[in-house]
Amino acid sequence: MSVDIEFDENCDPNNPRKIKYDDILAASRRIVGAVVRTPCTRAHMSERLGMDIYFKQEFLQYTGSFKERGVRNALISLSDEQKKNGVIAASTGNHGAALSYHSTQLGIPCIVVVPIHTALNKVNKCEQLGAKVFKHGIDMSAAKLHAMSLGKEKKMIYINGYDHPDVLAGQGSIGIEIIEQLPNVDAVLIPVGGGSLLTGIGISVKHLKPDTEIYGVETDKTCSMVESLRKNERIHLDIDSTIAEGLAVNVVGTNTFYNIKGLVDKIVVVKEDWVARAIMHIVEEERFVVEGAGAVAVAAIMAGLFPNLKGKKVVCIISGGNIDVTILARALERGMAAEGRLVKFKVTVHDRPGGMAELCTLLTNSGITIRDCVPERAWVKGDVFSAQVKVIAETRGWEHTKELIEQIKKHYKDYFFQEICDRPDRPSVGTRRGPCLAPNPVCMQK
Amino acid sequence: MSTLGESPAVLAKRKHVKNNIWCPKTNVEDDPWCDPDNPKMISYKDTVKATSVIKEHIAKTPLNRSKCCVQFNMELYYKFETVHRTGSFLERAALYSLSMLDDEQRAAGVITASLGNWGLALAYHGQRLNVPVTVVIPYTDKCKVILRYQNYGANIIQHGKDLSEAIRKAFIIKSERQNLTYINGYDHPHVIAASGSIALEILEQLPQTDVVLVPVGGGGLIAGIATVAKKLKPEIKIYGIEPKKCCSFFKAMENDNPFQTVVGATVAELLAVPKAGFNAFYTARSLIDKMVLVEDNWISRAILHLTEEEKMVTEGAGATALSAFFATPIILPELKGKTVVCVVSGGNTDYFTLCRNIERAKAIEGRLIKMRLTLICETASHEHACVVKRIMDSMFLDYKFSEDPYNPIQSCVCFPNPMLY
Repeated sequence: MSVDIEFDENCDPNNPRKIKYDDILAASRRIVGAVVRTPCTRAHMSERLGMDIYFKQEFLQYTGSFKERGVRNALISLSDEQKKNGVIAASTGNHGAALSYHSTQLGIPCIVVVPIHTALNKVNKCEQLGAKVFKHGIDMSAAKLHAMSLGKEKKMIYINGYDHPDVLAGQGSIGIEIIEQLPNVDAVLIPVGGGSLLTGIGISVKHLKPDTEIYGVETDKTCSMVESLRKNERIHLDIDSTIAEGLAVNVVGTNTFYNIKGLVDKIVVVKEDWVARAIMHIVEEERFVVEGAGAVAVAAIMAGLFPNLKGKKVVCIISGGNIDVTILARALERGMAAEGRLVKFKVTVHDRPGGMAELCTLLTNSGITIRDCVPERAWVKGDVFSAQVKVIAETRGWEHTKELIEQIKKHYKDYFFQEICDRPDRPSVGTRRGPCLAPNPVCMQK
Repeated sequence: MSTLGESPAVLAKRKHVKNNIWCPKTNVEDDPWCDPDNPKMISYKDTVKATSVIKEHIAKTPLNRSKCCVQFNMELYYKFETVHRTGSFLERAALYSLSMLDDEQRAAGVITASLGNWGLALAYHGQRLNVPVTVVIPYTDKCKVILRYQNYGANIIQHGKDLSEAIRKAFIIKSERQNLTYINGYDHPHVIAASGSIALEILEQLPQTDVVLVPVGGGGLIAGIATVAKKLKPEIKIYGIEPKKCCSFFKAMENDNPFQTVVGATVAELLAVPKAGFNAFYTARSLIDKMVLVEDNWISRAILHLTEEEKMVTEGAGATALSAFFATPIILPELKGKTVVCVVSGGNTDYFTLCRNIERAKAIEGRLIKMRLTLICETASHEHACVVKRIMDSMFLDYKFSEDPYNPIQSCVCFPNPMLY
């Protein structure tokens, strides 16, 4: 008789577990002291976005994400023999790090399996926290399969990071804290990957304050929960690379899918570009470093997906801060470009002494900052004495960029502006900085 | 060494500079609050008063334990002053000094010279309290800064290449419009008193603090903190950390008097104050235990560390206190095992500066290396070579062809495994 490798008794599709508020309350008592009771502070960008936004700062946990709560609860609830054998998990990073940290603290052996293309710093983090890390598989499903077979071999308990009932109960403790810290909250916005946060917080908040609205947020590349709810069964979604790596779960959890029905008011999908912009705004205005998954709630508000929450008290769960600094830099750049503050263009100037200086003076007089100015001499159409200069410049916003274009148009015949925003169908919110972004105001082709 | 100061008799006989007929130069920079001949010493009482005024509007800032205490081998805590609205601790000072103006002064308006944070804090609170604010800042290339000032409704003027010239310009403007009040951002007694509120909070939140590390620019922050901390807990140690390239306070300590120095361009640009504050110096000189100078590289590494591990965005000035621990060789061995609080004074950095600091820090730590590869491509024709070149153009920013376009040398950046400390 062959045993199905993928069979996880805690996440059995034929026997989904119902999570009760009592489980969550017990979990929150168990994890006290080991997990940070994170602050829920008012955001500076509240006025700009038209509502009272509060950030639940889960990135202040030791390993940088909220996963610690569920993991701690699950580990404490294991029997002695299970603790001796150890635990195993497949994770893109946050769950693995949380598991490594707490299992080392509790003296439980731990193995983490990650997909091959996981970022370096995440792998090193798990190792430094005391776990053994194995790399296997192109995506989460393959890694998970390997982890489960390894687990069966070594008799280690597989802890599913988004579906284990104890993990769900642990995540629910956030909901209890929110109601304690902000008793008159109107809505909670929760990023959705496998669904553990949504389920846990949904159950606890609805129990304590039933009129609170619970919203889930996903990105357009990681919308497994939305698709599953639409078809009313858990579907497999192929996920490519995404900025919200923490949400990149191919199939949502059994228990989460089962418990979510009737709990959630709406799940919205936000485009990935907005997530980059949200990261940038949080860095600039709140001075926090958040990962893509943590910024989706703010991104959804910025994208105007919650017009019904204007003026209300909204809590955004900032689920984590583990972002690779390179990706952070790229997200900031994307954000700046989408706001019209980063302009890329090419201009043909005379390649004689003073030609480029003239261009630079013109740019400086317009009040913009030149970040990169690269001339290219050969492979340029026109006479031998011209060079095409590629300029990357920083401006104050769309208005300023338009002025810049006028200036360039006046003085130079040959120019080319990069298309900055190429999604005319994206809904936009009138930010204080400028008019809507949908029709391309800076797209000019020669 | 401490003196009782000049005797009252001497002070009474001291005459101010007389206008010489041959050189009728008037001292434009005449600020009654920051008089070099009459430095004011701030007391603990002033600080308590300041704290009670600002307490209603400014919440206590978090004091977080570092996640890397083991790595640093001490109980390290950060006082994050980055969570204020305008991103720096100077909000406390701005609110207090504006609150202390009378109605007439408030209606007339204030003027100041600033490197960035002070002016922004003043503008924000000026808008809230309906006080017109004029700020003179040195020439800056940061568009975002101008935008932020405009958002808070301040009148902004760019002048000069460093803070001294901006201060001079501010005084010239003040001499034209007599009713403006000039508030010095690092030396005004109210500023120093309000900065002391940070120390009150630190000792409330962490009574067992042994050492406080404070970044030093003009000296206002450390003067305030030192006054309070030494009064409440005399055995506490206060260290001032300054960047080597703009160490006006350090030089003032050596010279026993502040004087004009030349400041270089540094990562911690908001600490580039050419002349240390008189009141600050007078208050703090007997209270500071040690002044430490740090290199720019260490500051970049500190910024990277705070971004990666603590998930907080800081500016160079804010990360200066922590940068003392990134020095090689170790410069503060006596702090091992102690309870140390680093004041992270501000977080106003823009995207380019942040990215450049991160890159530089990575390169220093050996996590970023540059490789040169020589690729020899055989292309079918000249046109084909152009196509290849265009592809290279879009893939890599920095590459060169040698004379013939058939031998491109690319240079790209890669990320090896991080070096273990």
